[in-house]
Amino acid sequence: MFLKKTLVSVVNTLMFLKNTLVSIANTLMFFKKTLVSSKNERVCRPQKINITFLKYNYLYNMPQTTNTPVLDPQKWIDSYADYLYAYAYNRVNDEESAKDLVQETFLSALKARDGFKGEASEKTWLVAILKRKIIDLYRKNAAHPQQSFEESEQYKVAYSHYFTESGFIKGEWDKKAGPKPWNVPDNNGIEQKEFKHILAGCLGKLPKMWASVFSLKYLEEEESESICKELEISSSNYWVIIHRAKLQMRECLEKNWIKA
Amino acid sequence: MSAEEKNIAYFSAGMGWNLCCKQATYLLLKQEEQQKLSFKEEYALKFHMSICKLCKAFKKQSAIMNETIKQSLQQVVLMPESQKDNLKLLINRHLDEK
Repeated sequence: MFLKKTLVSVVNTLMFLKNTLVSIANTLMFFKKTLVSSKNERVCRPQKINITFLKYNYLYNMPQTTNTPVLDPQKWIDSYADYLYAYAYNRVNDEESAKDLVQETFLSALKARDGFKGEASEKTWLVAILKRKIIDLYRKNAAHPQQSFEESEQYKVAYSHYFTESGFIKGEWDKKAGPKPWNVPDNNGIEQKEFKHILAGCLGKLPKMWASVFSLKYLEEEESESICKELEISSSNYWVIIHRAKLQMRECLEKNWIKA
Repeated sequence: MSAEEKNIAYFSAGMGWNLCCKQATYLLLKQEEQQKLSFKEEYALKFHMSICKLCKAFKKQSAIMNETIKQSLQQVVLMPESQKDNLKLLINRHLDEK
């Protein structure tokens, strides 16, 4: 009881401190904003006029054809194939599927050629298509029908493996599975290749749904909301999956990569 | 209730000022993604991190993992030449059809 009371009082004081700090910071920010905006206005006005002037100049003097987008499929392979292949390979970790992905992107880019409006450059347009294809691949993996039963089994195993389910304090780190100090290997080229290999192996050990979520999050760097939409899972489910996937990946990497 | 639902219920409800490591790691991952934690969760997490060595280690290692994964994405790989030739043939065929 005594401990709890002291804790609550400490937290209360912390709360008070935070509130005061936040209010002070807010007032400071307000002053700063007013100052900055007044400065900016002075600097920006002449520039604005310049830009509009340039625009008119451009419209009257330039030929109209520069606005229409130009795609050159003959040169795609020479200029973009390596980049796209590396992009796909680094995310999928498999030569064959990386090749297939690049081929598919070129084919669908050829089909969708008329829809290209020139809003982005050719390269970013192709990368966007490739990214779409990779996400589709992950989604296909996640929706594997045979996986559901196995997954539920692994759910049960995993948590009790990492955290104690009974005892004096529930939910503490298990002594065997808890984090140990890491000596991170240096970042040589060889080491990195090895890391990729290990990472792929560890991802393969995860249930497919988790692997898809994990790679979408950390390899594709998608927002959590869009991942939930893509894979049709609720957000709380998503957080649980990320939590467990991270726990499992951490252990797997500790065993294979760190070798302490 | 399935195991999955139980877990979700476990996390969403019943987080007091006293966190166990299981809940703390869960909140840590949420915080890592710039998710807003509630006030109670934030301070409970801070308190837990100040006493728990293992969770501190977990936080560090999680950051290391993120960084190494990010670095490994920038690795340079070249496409095999044979595959390039195949693709060139394919594209040319497509262009001729039109």
